[in-house]
Amino acid sequence: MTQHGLELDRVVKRFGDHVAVDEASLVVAGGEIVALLGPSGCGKTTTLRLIAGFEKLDGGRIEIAGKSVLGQPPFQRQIGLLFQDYALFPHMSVAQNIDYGMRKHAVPAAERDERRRTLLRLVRLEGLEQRRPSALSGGQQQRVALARALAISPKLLLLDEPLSNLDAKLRETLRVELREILRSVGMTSLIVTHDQLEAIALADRIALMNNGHIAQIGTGREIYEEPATRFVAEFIGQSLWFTGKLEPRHEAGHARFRCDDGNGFVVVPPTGDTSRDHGLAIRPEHVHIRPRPGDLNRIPVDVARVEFYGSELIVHCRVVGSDRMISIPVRSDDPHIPEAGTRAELGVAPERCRVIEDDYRRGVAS
Amino acid sequence: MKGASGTRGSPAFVATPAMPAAANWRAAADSLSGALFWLIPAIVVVFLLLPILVAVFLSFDDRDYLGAFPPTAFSLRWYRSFFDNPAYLQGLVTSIELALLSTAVSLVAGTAAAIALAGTRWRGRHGLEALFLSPRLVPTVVIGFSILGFASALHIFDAFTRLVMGHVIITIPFTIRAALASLVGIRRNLVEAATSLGASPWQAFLDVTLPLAKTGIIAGGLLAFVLSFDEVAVSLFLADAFNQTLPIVLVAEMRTNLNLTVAAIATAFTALTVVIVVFLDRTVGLDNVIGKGLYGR
Repeated sequence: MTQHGLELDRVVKRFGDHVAVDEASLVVAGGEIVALLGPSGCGKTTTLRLIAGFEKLDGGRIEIAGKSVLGQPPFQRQIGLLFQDYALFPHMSVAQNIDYGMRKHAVPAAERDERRRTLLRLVRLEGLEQRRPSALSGGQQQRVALARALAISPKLLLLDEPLSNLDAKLRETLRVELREILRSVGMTSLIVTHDQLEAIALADRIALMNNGHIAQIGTGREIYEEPATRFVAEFIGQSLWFTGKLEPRHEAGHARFRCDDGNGFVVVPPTGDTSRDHGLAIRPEHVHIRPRPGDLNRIPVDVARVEFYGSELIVHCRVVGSDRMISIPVRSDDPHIPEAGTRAELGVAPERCRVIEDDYRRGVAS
Repeated sequence: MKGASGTRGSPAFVATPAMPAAANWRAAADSLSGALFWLIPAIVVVFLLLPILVAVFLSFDDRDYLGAFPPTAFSLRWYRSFFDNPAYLQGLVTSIELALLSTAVSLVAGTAAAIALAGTRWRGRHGLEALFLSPRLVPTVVIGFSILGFASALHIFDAFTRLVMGHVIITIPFTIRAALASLVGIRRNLVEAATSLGASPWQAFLDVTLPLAKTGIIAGGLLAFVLSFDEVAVSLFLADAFNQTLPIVLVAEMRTNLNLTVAAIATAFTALTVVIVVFLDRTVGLDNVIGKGLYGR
């Protein structure tokens, strides 16, 4: 087994009374690309700065390539850092920027030239060695920054919102490009981002961060299909959320979930711990506008509005006898599109109803 | 004037036949305030610049007495007479030595202070900065007198040392401000990038911070040099018979035998100052070195 590329063990960082990183633990395998994904203020940038050594740890342990970096200043950690705004040295040429780290690491001149050429070929910037960063486009600057970070043969690559400074069109092309480069160098990488698409496109696994701790780690698919908590279910993709209680009575492999608004759902009994506050999450695309066989859950609704979005329609329904709105996507070529003002019945299979922890309520309850 | 200029241009067009008198009156007031708006600064500029122009003209006057303006013949005799007077030459040497030394001290101390101020997020920073910049607000006569008393309390009786002390005090706000202006513009990311690439904090400072702040620091030094070179009031308190700066010699000469060498020196001074100020404005922008709130940009 390869050694861990990066290990965070119950890492804590406080700023005054505010706990920015709260016992976050994460293991990144050697050569693996992991995205640290979360909303702004969740502690992901602080985590990156802790790993880079720009902030001091208040608790826990950080290991890079199997060695603790406790007390090691940033310039001894040999971490490649890709800054959000690239942070290229404006008074140096592209070549000087790339050479800077190698000079500090006393790489011999011949090897330096060799490595610089290889990297410029990798990021496809050959011929631009003598340019100043200000004479490059945003995408080119980013690739110079990447080459500069890789030039020191880092043990770990940290990328801070790598695509957020680019306009939307460029972002998509560069996402593909960046993924190819990262794959080809095979370096242990941690990408900090608030953008789900960026995380899914670039990383092998995603660590979802919220309120300073890691809420869930897994591939994009795992996280989407099996969200561990309400935060995960609502941050990644969309979710219908029902608060209520799981009834202890099981029948024929099914359990019942009693919603606070009076509705009940037949669900597959959750395997996880349901002693904490929990609720029911359903992905909108699993709600059928015409119930299919096996959709044991039927919800009578009034169709309030139908919105057309090209290949898809969004049907907004109000649950009969309640104010609850449910909006579900329907393909526009579906022969059974309900009309506004009519009554319909929605169907959901028990396997699609996930009883999971309500981490929004945990904070209030405790 | 404020109210009138606020509606500039419009009253003439919105005037209705029902009230032509009021509209005309407002239009008249408007054009009058518009004229004053330009006239007053123009008068101020003329009164500021005209004497300098007169001095420039007089410096080329060929007459050996202070005659009526304009001069009837021109020559460089007053420029030559400067070099014939050992008192002037000695004063020039003293002034240059003093300006160089006090600029050097002010530059090193000011840059160090600016680095400390720019590098901290401490809340008292603004207060400390105001304190460092405060010599600009104290009358130079007060500074001169205070330094004289302070120096004698410290048993410093060497006039040149006293002069350096005084000149450092009056120039340091400018070196701090100029260095601070360029340091604040350097993103912290750049220093962190250098650090992550293996540079120690000191190396990162030398490789990244200093080259990027260089222009501002040099600009502050030039300004400090000019200020020290032009300084009269503080020097009057601190100089003695053996350490006379050029401006002091000039004042003394003017009192005893007024001739146009003063005009020649003034012209040379002005030319030097203009060159340096234009250079400063081109390189770092004058606003950054003198005036304007630094953090409000």
